[in-house]
Amino acid sequence: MLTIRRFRVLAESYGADLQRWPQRSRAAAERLLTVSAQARRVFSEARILDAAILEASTQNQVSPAEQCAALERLKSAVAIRLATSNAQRPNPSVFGWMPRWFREVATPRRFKLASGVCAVLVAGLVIGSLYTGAPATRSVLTFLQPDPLQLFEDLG
Amino acid sequence: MASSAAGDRRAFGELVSRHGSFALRVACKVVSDTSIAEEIVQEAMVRAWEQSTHFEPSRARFSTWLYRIVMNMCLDHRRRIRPAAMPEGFEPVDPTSSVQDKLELDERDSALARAMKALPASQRAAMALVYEEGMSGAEAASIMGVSAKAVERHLARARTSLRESLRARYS
Repeated sequence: MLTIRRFRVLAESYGADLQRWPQRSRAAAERLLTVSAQARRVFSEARILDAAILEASTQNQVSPAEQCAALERLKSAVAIRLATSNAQRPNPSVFGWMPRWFREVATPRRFKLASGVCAVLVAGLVIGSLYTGAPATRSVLTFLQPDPLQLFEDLG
Repeated sequence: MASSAAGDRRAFGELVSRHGSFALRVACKVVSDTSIAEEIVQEAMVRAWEQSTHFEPSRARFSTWLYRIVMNMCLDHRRRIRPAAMPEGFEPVDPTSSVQDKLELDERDSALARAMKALPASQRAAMALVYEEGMSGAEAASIMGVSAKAVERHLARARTSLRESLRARYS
């Protein structure tokens, strides 16, 4: 529901061109314009200022030829700057050798998060092994290296 | 962009060709001086080249990232210089004459153009992106690095200033 108050705020920001308005408000604004004389008045006031701004904007505009010339100047100036020592070649990323999909997934933030989780896990293992002492170590070793097969024990 | 990040100058040259016009146009609107705008965009492009390895495509489009660099440099420039004086009033003219009507309109447009140049940089930037480049408030917000609400406020303040300057002239 678009109130007349909100309608006025939007008109005073975006003017009388609904294409500039936030998309979610456009349909409601059109409905309000059909039913509210106040909304229409606000809109027509905004339209007058829009027209003045448009006219004034054209005075500030640079001609297309001048725009093209400016772009050419920019391209050559940037090319010269890149060729000189002032503009250093980008440092290749530490992860530059990795596949692109991995680099996109492994953003620095995620990398830091994963490093933090790994550090906590390692710290947990170290602290755990210190506090549980030899039996724990033995149990870990037992888990990693089960008892040797006793195939011939019964024969003895 | 990936090629540019890997140090391919020719690939970066393509990006300059593709995005240079927009960057120059918006910079001109914000700083109101073509030669300064060109210097700023040139510097922004070099900075984008130097920082291209830090660009993350998963977080933003390249154009948004580049335009934000341009916009920040324009705003920094405008903050450093003193704002231009507001335009002065005009001599009263006879409204019955059509030639004088035309002159009056021209005067009004010139005055409004000067008033637009005198707006704070952030308001000029919002107006250039939304009114002249046809961007949505959200798109303008991502380039300016502010919220859509902030863009809305900049636009509203800019319009209020322009309306007041017109009203003061004709009152």
